Amino acid sequence: MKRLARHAGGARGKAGFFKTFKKNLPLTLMALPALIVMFLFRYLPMSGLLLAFKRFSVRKGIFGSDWVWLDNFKFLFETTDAWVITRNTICYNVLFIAIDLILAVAMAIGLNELLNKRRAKAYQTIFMAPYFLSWVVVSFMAFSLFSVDDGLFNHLLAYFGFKGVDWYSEPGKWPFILTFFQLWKTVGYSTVMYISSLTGISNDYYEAAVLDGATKWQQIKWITLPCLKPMMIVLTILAIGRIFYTDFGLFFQLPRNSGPLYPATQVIDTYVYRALKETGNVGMAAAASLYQSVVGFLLVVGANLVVRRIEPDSALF
Amino acid sequence: MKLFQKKADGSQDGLAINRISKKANAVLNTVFLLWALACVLPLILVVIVSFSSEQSIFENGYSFFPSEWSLDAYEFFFKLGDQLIRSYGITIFVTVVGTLFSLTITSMFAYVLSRKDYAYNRLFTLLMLFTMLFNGGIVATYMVNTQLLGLGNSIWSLILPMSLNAFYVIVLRTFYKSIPIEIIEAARIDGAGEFKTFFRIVLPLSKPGLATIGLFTTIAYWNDWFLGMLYIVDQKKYPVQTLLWSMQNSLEFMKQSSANALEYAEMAANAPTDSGRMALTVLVVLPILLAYPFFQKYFIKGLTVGGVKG
Amino acid sequence: MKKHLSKRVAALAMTAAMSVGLLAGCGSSDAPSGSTGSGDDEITTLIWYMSINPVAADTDKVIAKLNEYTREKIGVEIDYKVIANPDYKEKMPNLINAGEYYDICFTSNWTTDYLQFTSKEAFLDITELLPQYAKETYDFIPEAVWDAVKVNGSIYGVPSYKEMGWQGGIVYNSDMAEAYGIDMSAVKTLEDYTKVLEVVAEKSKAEGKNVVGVSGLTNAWPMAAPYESLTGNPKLPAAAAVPEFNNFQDVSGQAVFNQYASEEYMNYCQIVRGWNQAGYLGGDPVNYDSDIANRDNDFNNGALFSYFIQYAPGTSESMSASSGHGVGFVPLMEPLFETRSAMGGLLAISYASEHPDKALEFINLLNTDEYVGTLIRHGIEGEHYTAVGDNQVDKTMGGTLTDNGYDYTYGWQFGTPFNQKWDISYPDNIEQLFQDYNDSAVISPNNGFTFDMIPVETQVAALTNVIAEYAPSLETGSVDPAEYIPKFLDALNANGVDTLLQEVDAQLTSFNAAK
Repeated sequence: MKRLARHAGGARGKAGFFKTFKKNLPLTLMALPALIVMFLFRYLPMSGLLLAFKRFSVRKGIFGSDWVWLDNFKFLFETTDAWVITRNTICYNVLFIAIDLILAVAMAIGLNELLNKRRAKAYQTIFMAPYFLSWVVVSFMAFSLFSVDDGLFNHLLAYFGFKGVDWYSEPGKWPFILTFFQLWKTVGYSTVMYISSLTGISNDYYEAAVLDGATKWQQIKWITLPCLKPMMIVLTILAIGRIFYTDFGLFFQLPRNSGPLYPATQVIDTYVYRALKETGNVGMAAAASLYQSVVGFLLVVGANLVVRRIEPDSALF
Repeated sequence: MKLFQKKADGSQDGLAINRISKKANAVLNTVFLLWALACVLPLILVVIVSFSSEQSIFENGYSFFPSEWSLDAYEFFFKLGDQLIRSYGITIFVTVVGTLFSLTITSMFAYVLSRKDYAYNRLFTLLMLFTMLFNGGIVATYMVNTQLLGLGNSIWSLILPMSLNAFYVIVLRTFYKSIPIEIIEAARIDGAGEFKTFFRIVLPLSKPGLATIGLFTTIAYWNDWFLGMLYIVDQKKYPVQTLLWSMQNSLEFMKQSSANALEYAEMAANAPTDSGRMALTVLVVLPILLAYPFFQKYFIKGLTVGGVKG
Repeated sequence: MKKHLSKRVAALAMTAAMSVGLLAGCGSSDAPSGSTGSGDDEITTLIWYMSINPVAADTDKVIAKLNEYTREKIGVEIDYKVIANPDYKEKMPNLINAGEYYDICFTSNWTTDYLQFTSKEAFLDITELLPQYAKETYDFIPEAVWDAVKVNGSIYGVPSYKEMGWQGGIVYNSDMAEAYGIDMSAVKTLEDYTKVLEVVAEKSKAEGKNVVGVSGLTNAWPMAAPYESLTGNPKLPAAAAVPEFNNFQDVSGQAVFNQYASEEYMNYCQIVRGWNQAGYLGGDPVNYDSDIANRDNDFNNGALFSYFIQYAPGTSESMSASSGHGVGFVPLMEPLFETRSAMGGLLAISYASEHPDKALEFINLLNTDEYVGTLIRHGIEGEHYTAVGDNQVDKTMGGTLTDNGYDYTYGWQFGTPFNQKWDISYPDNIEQLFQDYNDSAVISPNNGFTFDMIPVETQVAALTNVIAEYAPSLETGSVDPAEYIPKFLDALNANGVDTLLQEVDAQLTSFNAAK
């Protein structure tokens, strides 16, 4: 705090603090509504973090409930699935983050370059469409493709003389299926963000580049991508912060909770869901969420440190 | 940041030819067209299935060419009558007011955090980032919202809890950061206060960013059924997503137990589950898809102005 | 009050059965509970959260009528908060956790879990208060049922008394059975059923049809070899043999055993594996089971011959009406009453309630005052039903049932159906059916034992995931039991099944010692 004050105001001690405070007051006022909302709706409920270390009793409330310390965390580690769920969660997320980044940026640039702007507009709208479908609806659609008896894929395979595949019992195929559906659903959303970033790039850059005889590729490489970089970095760091979280619908609804697929579809969120359905223990739920948060927090701080070394302007903090 | 690299072989007619070649355009179009089909066909299928009769779904599965059309699914939801209209009204109110409120506080906050010369910049950024990574969980959140803030059964319980999203703040901050600081300093030299600078100069410059976040916020408010499910006890006050969610679930539960119910067995046998699910999707997705072009016009401008003109 | 069982019982299932939650009708008053003076007596307002489907349009009217009566009778007014079943399941646990004030709430093992919230100390211990404020109800409900809802010897809720226990078996298309010349009365076990399936497959193929022989296998295993599930969840490994069923002989020496490690389980899986490979189950039995609407349709159209269900009196009659063909039922076991059977629905009182005495008096009326029971179930006479004789109601009111402003199929959730008049649509002999059913129910040897999961929650969490991974494919014959049961058992062992069994055993020993 002090360091910050000195940093900005250049003054020392109490008087310096007030001076800094006064100088920054208009901006602080501007931030105030958000700060109030943040305090009321985010920080007040943080007392719930205590539940991760407690056995919750309705009668005793959050603060009065008995401490059990780390007992609530045990179920995340004392299972033979611990390795599988952690591996799956991390691997899928890394995969999703990387492919989503590449695809979304490529699509944004591609749409930007299309000769027919009308068409670009239409594509952009259409790419958003899957984002609006709930996973439940998507899972029913997928079932009409993958169903053993009536699925479109097995009909096609049969038509070409191949043997039908038992899609919901063969885990080997699901990393691809899950990745496809995830990207299908979210790439449109990420693309929008990069497209709107592209609008911020001044034409002057391109005009100058063209005068210098830069080709399209060179313009993309030396103008477009560097201008998109801050957004790419920010979105990636934020995604890294959620590396221990997964989209529950993707991993639970889409594979229809099929047991034989667990090696490929079991992630932390689905494991916790199934584990707690039986006991309804809010302490264990809080523990799982805290575990996910702490890992995310450490990774964000780490990623931010790296970014600050290389590109201080794009760092989150 | 290095933006330019002098070219070695420097062909000079760049201005006229700064468009992608016809060939490249064709390739891009093909790729986009395929992806677009993958995105739009399911949506069309949803619409068609919602108009199919249950019987034809049983016989042929989901089909683009159902053997029999039917309005049963919509009739089922339209039976709600006034309630449906009221719920749409609540959702529209929540979406509009929520988006405006959320956009206001988010954009101001993001702007403040984008200012490198702001003393508490780092502190507030960290405080906010913390809320993105950590949350108190549903028990404590529910307690605070209902017992402490008294939001239970109130329309504000649908608006306020999701009005500040740290993710959007950070995205918007990134947009602001691309505004040259010189512009802001020039305004200050002209004697404009912080608020005036922000509303007169910064906001108009960041329309694409605001439209993006506005779009995402609108979608988030529109799609939300869970807050209504948690906080609204009185079904008359349900937003439309919650109402339809509740109906659809009742329907599925009813189906599952139809063999055990005497009085409802017949009614259950005729209730549209599959087409109902799809009709529900149509009822909630179409309005928001129609709103999409409104936002799009703000960032599509960049496509024509920002990028390609040489 | 009518003590005999000759009363209509609406609820035929303990499932969260429901219909459409259309127009809401919540009590609009948000007044906090408390006492308001009215005339000579103090009137107590009780807040009652209720889960039932559909929320009837005329709820407010009926509650106004109810309040007229209860004000007079016990000095109570109800602030009624009724919520449709799927919504209640999401809302109520949060309301309770957050400490929202209420007096009475609905709880069960399928929504707002009775045992979970009891262990979270949300409900009031009413063991002492019951005989004092709800004596008639206390006497009316059989002791076995009270035993079943006890947790550590204390009662935390008043159960809805209806049919006792559950009975597994197979419902089948009796028209088809007749056409194919199948004698279903010969079927006593799953082995017997193989022959039936063989005939169905053979004859239907000869007719050029593709009939699925049987479905519903994901629930069939506990019906094939019934056991008492000591944890309250039949899927969790911790079973006790029920002597009447003469099974699990190899482990009958043990008070608690892992049912998945039994000979019976291997046997069952091998039988269904045979069915699966012979093609009697369709291509994908797990997913087939998950789409109930499709199954019902196939059953009605003769594309499915039979399926496993938990049966209650009157089911096959109502199914023949809705399916358009004859429906028969083959029981695989006698009804079994165990601890979890009593948890289909209970009314519990909040630990924080300021008027537990009044709340119990009101619950007592629901269970023993026929005017109250019939009113809350069927609505107002002349408006929602017409009385037929002394014990019956006619709900048609000149329109169709769906037009009725107040009509609840699952009226037992309000209390006991034995305290509510019968609808004329029920079979005349349903009372006898229920009498027979309850008479034939086998009371499980450890009835009343409730397992406290807290010491082994970690193991339960891990085991639940293992079971979800292996059981559905094994129990539908999708995989080879000789290969997968050992894998399954290894996974159970590695995730602490022994710790769970030991804990159950220890708690059971002290439970029996205390008896």
